[in-house]
Amino acid sequence: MTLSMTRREFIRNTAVAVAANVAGLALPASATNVLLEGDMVQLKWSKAPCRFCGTGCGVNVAVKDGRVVATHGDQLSEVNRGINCVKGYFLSKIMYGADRLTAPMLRKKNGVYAKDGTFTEVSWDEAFDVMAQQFKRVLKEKGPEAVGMFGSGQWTVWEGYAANKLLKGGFRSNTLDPNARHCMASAVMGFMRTFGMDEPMGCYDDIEATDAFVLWGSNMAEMHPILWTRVTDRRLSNPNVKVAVLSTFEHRSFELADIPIVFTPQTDLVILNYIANHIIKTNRVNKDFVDKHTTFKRGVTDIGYGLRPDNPLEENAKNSKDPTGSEPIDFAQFAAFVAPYTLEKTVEMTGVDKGWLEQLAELYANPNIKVVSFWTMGFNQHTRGTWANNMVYNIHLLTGKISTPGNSPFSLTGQPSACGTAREVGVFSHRLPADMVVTNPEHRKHAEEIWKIPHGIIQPKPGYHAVQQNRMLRDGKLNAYWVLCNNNVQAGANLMQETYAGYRDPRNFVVVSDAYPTVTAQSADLILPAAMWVEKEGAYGNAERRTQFWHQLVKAPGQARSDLWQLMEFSKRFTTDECWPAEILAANPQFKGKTLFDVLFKNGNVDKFPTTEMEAGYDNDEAAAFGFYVQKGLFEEYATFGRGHGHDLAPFDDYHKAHGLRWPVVDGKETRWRYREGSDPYVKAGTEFQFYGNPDGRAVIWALPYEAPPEIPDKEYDLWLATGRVLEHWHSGSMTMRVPELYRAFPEAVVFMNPDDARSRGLKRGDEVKVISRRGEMRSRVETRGRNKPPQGLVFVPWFDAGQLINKVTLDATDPISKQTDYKKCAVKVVAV
Amino acid sequence: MKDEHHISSLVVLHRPDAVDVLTAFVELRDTLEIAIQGECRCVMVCETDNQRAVMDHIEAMEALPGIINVSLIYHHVESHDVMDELVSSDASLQGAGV
Repeated sequence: MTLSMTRREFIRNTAVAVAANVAGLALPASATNVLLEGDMVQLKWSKAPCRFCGTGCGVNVAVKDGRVVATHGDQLSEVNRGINCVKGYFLSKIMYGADRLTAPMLRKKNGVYAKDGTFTEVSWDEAFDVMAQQFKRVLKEKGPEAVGMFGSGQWTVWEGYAANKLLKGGFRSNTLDPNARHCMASAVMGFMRTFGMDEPMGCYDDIEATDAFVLWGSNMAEMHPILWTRVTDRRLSNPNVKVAVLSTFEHRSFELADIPIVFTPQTDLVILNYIANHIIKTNRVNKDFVDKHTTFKRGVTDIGYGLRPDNPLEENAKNSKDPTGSEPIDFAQFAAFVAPYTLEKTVEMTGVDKGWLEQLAELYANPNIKVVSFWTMGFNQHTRGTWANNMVYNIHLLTGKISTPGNSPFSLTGQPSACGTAREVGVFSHRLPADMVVTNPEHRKHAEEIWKIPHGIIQPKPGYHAVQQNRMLRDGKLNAYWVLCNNNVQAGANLMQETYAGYRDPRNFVVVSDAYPTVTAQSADLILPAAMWVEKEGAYGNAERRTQFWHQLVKAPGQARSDLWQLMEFSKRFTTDECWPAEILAANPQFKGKTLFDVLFKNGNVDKFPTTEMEAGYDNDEAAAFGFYVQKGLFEEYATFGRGHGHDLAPFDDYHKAHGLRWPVVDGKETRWRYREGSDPYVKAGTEFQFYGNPDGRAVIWALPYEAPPEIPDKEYDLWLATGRVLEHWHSGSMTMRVPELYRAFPEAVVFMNPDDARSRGLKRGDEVKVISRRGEMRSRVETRGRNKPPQGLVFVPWFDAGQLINKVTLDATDPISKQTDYKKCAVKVVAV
Repeated sequence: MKDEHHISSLVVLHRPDAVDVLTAFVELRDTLEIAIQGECRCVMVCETDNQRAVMDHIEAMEALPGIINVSLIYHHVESHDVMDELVSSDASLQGAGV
């Protein structure tokens, strides 16, 4: 049919048709003749997952003349169904900031590298020459423990995997940790302790199947807006559905709350045990499920706060050296353990009204209500974050509300591949792929066999984790350090006392690979320009175990190169003789004289697939540089770790066709609900449920108490400080602050403060103030209105603004089990400037 | 680009009783129009001469009582001059839906 109308009408009709499709609304007759943008301007559209949070939205990307000119939500994506949040909407603009790094920059003085030199443009050859010289110096003088890397939950799967091989299998250092340590390490340890296996059992399909949502500290309206759209849709379309929102301050998600709960910081632990107690006291334990599928353990208490060992809080803590200890108990002992967490005690400790607590507890206790629990940083960035994770599983397990559609304890993630790369690939200082660990000799042996390297190469001792890396840089024990794809000078807590001094210590050589001159890049000695997002072929894994691929769609600007190219190219500058012990090489002479590139990446696995296997019509700069289909080789070698062990990934090529697949993918079928017979191929017939991560097939219900935080407000530092994010900016803002629309929407951080607190300090909205803690201070402005409404006694400051570094103030206390920092609680004062 | 013409579509999720508030908000603004109204969601079209105005509308609507979520779905910008040109082509649903 040939149509004729004005261009304006066409575009309007298209806009309405796309939105109607997304909203599930019928199209009016006047708008049924549509012409999509692709037809009009001859754009080439391809799919890619979004670059930002862990939701994993599908995005369609339009390229014209080698440049990304448009993106919109992928209507075929099961995750976002055509919708984007405002960040995702302007996604393509992150690549085109005016200050994009396009050449390596080395600090130089008189023509040579100098720690106190000024940044000077250099070639890749010179950059890698100087960097290799420094790394070799440190390897020779101090050994592999002094070499480290800080990576990312934004790395592609193969970037994380290549980094893991280079550090653990090449340099023999386990000091490789991701920024995901700041983000979901407590979730990981929670999963491992309860289920013996990482990542959620359910998926986003639970949203449309449930009767109740409980947000534990999560502000999904701003941090996971697309999932929030689905939650909102479920709630508004089904009046019986209930939404409970718990936080230490009121925020945008409260607009949908049927049960709004603002509690005193740290007392979420009290509420969790109260709910367990309520379930038991009202005789609503699912006894059949509990008897068949769970065991009980009591964890050690008084475990410290992950501070430096000479801190009195660590010296005085009974179990700070072994916070993971436990003993088996039975149901009766568990019931006795939670019995003191009565409603009255919970009201007293949390400051929450009795009625809200009872309504919340009933969502879990009532056997006729299906319930989804969501959490992110409120639980994870918590000095008892692992406990909080274990305790929310407790209440799902006691009631058997797990692994069935609509019954789902669901840990959300903050980064696009915190799951797919950081966790599944094992880019942590203690981990190997597929939930294996360096401390287990069998796991090391298995990894060495897959990697085709001699036994004994992988070190048995965990390396420095994220927070420890900053401490060891400052102490001069970590001296050759490469930071990729993150902004830890802005992110790491306690900047003034820990981080910055280490970066600028003359004993240390610090390299930062990034797309923009972040504060971290500016604190380095060498800056390497990075390719980003669709400037390279990639794979991410989202929070629901969905692995998603994309093709390289455009070229990176100037000399910018992907982290994958950087890692592999750098490995060519080292020989095994420089990195491996003489006795291992003597016993395995075939490895002598080889480069790390030869033994790690030309090992018959990674270089197995020729470039002819690439899909036509797409660039692949890494394949062009190395002469083989690098991504496919790395992925297929990596996938051998998990296939047949509950982490099965599909064949590489399948992912370029699919809009993501949720692992385990067995016989071409993805798995939506794990651990349940009929939906998970690993569960044996007749068992109903099988938590097969644990040898006995049972999940663990943990007896764990409330313990106080390390720092609470006092007379001088009289306010709680919670930090966090805002809708418009993603994490440290290094990308979104360069998108004009997002920058203008929220140009600088503010101190969200209760109006009464402001008044009592003689402050009013817009006043310039200092936020001061025992560790440092920062300047900002008071905001008493708007989206966040703290109760008296608490201020909230977002951390996206490089011009207002709130991490000068925050405390570097961590969960002693997960080593994740608590960014949600410390004591500050706010004074007028 | 001078004389920009931005056409965007939005999906607004709201409580059922917020329809009147939303309608009143839209009626006061020439740049907004409700294209399809459902029980607890609607499709809105926004035509402005700058992108900032779209963002301002979203921010303002999210602050209205009963409005839970506003999502920007589609956005197109071109020169104002070409908007009245006649376009003829075979109708197609191919293209953007990869």
